[in-house]
Amino acid sequence: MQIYEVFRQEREGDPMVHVGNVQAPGDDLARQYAREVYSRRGEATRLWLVPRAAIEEIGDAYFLRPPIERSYRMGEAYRVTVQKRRQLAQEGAHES
Amino acid sequence: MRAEVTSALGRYLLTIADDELILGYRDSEWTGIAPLVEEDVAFSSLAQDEIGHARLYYMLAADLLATDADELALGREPDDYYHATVLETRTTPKYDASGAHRGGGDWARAVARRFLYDLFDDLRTEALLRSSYAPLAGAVQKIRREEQYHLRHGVAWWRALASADGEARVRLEGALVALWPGLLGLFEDAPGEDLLVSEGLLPHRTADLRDAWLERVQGHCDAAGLPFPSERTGAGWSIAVPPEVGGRQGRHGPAWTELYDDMTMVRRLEPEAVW
Repeated sequence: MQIYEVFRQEREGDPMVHVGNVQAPGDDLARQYAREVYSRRGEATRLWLVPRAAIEEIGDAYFLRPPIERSYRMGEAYRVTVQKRRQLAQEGAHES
Repeated sequence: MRAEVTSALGRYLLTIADDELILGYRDSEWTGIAPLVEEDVAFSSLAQDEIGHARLYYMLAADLLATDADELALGREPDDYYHATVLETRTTPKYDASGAHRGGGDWARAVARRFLYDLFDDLRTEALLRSSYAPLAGAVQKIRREEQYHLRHGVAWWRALASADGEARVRLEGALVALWPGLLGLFEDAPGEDLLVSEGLLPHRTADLRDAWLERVQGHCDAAGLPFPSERTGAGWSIAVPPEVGGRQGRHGPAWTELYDDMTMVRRLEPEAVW
């Protein structure tokens, strides 16, 4: 019995998004189960099934964070960045 | 269409519709107790598909027999149902308040029946694509698209059980032997099939599908290393056991009495109710 992580694309061109997983005794049944559970009502244009064992995980926070504080490099407080952010936030507010 | 042809076609459609309804109903009893939760969803979905197919066939029959699909599905007397008897037996444990149901039920039997029936149904629907009755040929085209998934599901489980060591394989072999006479009973003709063939409404009789089915089943048995319950003799087949017939004539076993009561219980309470 194996666990497969399932990724779904809802429209052509959209990114593949992780939606959950299925457990199955083999690839054939995993395909069936993914179809039944994640595209039962035709939600998907494409599914990816990845055996969980094939996933290389990095969960080490120490490794993932730079050891030296370098936020000055990120330009988060640059005037242009701040203005652009504000502009985007306003456009977003108009749309919704 | 002449009256006798119309009634023969209606009668034949009921045979198919009843097969699909009864298998769908029995398989739906696995909902909640299939071996794993994903399979629970998948097997229930398959069962629901079969009931959907039954509905299509009942609607076609209802047009010919001047009645409605619900009346055909749930309003007939028990001996006016024409499914093969192999489809009416229970494969799930029947709940018993004392707990005596535990350990009952046979998933291997459910898998074997479903898969070997689907192989038969695949041959039957393939033939029906050539029916000169356009509404039937059209409905069957849609049904076959769904049946392709059923076959893939069936073959995956067939292989999984056959290649497992121990109980799963023993149960699959046992199921094959136990189901064999009943499965051969699928090929019993419905009355009037000769007439339907001569009128071009059917390309051939149900009995004519048997050898192609035996061939396919033998292939799946050989591939999985399972003992095949019949033998090939030259151009034909030697069948050691007599087929379990009668279903197509409305003669059924005790499992049918129980299923009929369950299935029609609500409708019988208030047959005139509008849902």
